Amino acid sequence: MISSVLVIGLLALAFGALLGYAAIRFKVEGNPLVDQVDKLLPQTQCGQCGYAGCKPYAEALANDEAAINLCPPGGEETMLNLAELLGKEPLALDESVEQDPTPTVAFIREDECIGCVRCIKACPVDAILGATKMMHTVIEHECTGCELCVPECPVDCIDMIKQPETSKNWRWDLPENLEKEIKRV
Amino acid sequence: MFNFLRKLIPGGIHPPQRKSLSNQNPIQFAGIPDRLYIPLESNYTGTLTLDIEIGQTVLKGQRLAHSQNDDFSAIHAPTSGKIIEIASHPFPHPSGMNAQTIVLETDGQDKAVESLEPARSHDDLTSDEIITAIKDAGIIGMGGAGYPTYLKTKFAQNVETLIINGAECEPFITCDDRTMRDFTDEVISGARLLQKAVNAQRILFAIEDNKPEAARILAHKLENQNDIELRVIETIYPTGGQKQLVQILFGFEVETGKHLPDYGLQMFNIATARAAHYALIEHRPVTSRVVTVTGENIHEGQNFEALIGTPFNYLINQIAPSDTDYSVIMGGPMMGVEMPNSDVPVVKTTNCILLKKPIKKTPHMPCIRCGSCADACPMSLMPQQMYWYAKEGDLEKTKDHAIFDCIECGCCAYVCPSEIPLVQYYRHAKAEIKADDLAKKKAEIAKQRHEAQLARVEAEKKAREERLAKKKAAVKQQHTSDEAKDKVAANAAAAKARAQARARAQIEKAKAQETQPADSNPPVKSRSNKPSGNAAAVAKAKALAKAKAKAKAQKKDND
Repeated sequence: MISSVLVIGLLALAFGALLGYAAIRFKVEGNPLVDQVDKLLPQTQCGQCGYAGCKPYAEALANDEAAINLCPPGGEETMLNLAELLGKEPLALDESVEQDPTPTVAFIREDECIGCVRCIKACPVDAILGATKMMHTVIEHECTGCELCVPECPVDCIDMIKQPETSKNWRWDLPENLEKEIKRV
Repeated sequence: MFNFLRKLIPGGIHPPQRKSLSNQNPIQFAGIPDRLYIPLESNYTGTLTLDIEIGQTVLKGQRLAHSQNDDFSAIHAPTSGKIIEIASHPFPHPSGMNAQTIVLETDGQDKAVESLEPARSHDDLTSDEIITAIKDAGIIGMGGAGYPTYLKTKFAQNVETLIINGAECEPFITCDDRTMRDFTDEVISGARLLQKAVNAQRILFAIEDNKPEAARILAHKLENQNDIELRVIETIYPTGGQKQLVQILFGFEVETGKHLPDYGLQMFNIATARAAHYALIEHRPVTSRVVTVTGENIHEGQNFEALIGTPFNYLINQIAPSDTDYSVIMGGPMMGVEMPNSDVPVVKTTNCILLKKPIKKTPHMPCIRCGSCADACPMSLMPQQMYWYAKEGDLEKTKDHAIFDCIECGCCAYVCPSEIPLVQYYRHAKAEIKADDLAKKKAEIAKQRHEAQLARVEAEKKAREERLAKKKAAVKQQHTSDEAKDKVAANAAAAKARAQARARAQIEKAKAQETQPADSNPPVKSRSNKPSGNAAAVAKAKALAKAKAKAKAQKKDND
């Protein structure tokens, strides 16, 4: 009896020591969950979730401090992905947020721009070019459509323009009308 | 040993050929329509730079636009005329959308650019010259995919076998058949040029056995040429697919992600070979191509040599279909796509204009999991699984089932007893996956840019703080040094004053000693200076206050 207690005790000690060593030796820097969550977010950096960007929201999500339905640019898809990753119940998106999947980019009406550099400071991805008292312009393919520059403009010369559908970004649809009819049958 | 028992390719189907509808007559020149519409978009569009202006007169073969990148080929004027506008016009694309299109009003003269160089022969040309000329002539894969031939030759050097694809496996289409019969010499010459371009050791012509006439003529012409082999292969749809043809000819499968040059092979369509002949020997860029116009209710179809930009209906009117109720398909019945209308122009990849009975949108039956599609799939995929996942929107699963290996040949949909439009499901899933990947890539870039922005803001803040700290330190130092200086000066002044006072005291002492002992306290005088100064200041302030009060009073009076 003593010997078995001893053996088990020693085993427990040995494994405990091993685990303790592994915990120090293979320590993971930072929270890997944050990066996983961050990967699912659309990276528009718009702050509509109430956090200062996608990464802070990811941190809040990883620490279970935020709801999963706060990301309007990500829409339902992102919410579902988050629910799956974090093992939470899917939540309906906030209804006050209008849902429009068409991507938009900011456009500066250049002849009206006074060169105040406020929008440049607001842009989270440095997608606006310009200098003091010089005309500014948006680098279209770098713009995430976060709209943070719009309220900053003192002369209101920034428009959010919907990206038009072209033959290049056009996608084949599912044969939907056939699907619907079969349901009626 | 039992090779003859082995199936050439997995799956495959035998749809009715219907080729005799259009391959009876030689190729006819379609004529010059009043207007040509040359779209500035294609499957592989880079950024195009226009070489012409609106209102300019152009000659046949003059370059209209070119690309700075390698991913798009140059466009040339198909005939002489005037550029009247560059406008949005329908073009052959499954979306039915418009593209920016050069509109050329033809003058009927068909006057060509005079080439300064004399006609060349095969022997003077090097591989590099051929590749450059192919690029300049705007040659793209004319079998239907439209991949720039320039890139295909450039990245396939020193291959063992060059395959010239004359399989033309889709029903109804006969343009390659007729080209091989009517332009045999040009096709062989072009094949030789492409062989030189890729330094291939030998050429292999592959033709399906449903084109006996073309095979006979080719065999006759190739009789004395040792390094060209003609292989007549069994007719199975889709033998014309690149991977399928390689499997039939060489007996191995092309792996996912690998390309023909990895196996020492390269493949071109016979129409591409013909275009290469014109480009190199006669300095003629791609300005026309052979188009089959045929259809289900057509009495007699026809192959036309049509200028690029010829509207479909210009060709359709020439075969005068009796039944006007049809939908227009570009390509064959298996892989072709329905066009929004017949105004779309012929492009370099238009091999066939097929008039089909309007496709009725009938509800398809549910999948019964019969497995016929899996048997028919030439890529050995699982079409029924891909269909379920595509329908449910489970894109990851469709990827796991190798949806990107699907060549969209349509065999599965052809054999499906429930008539499910399977290929459209796959096209949808592929498009969604591509869009997702693009969005992910964009998000990654945005993330990097955001992080860079944060780092920049942080660095700027730090730099500013440092600058400020430095400035503060400098000011402090300046201040302390000023103070020290003041101290020294004050000490010096005090010392001086003391010395003066001492001197004065001595003088006065001496004076006193000399004369009378009078008021003997000069320091008192100096001390009394201060209060008197104060008194003066007080008096001054009082006067000022008085003046102010006076001014105020005056102001009040004025008010």
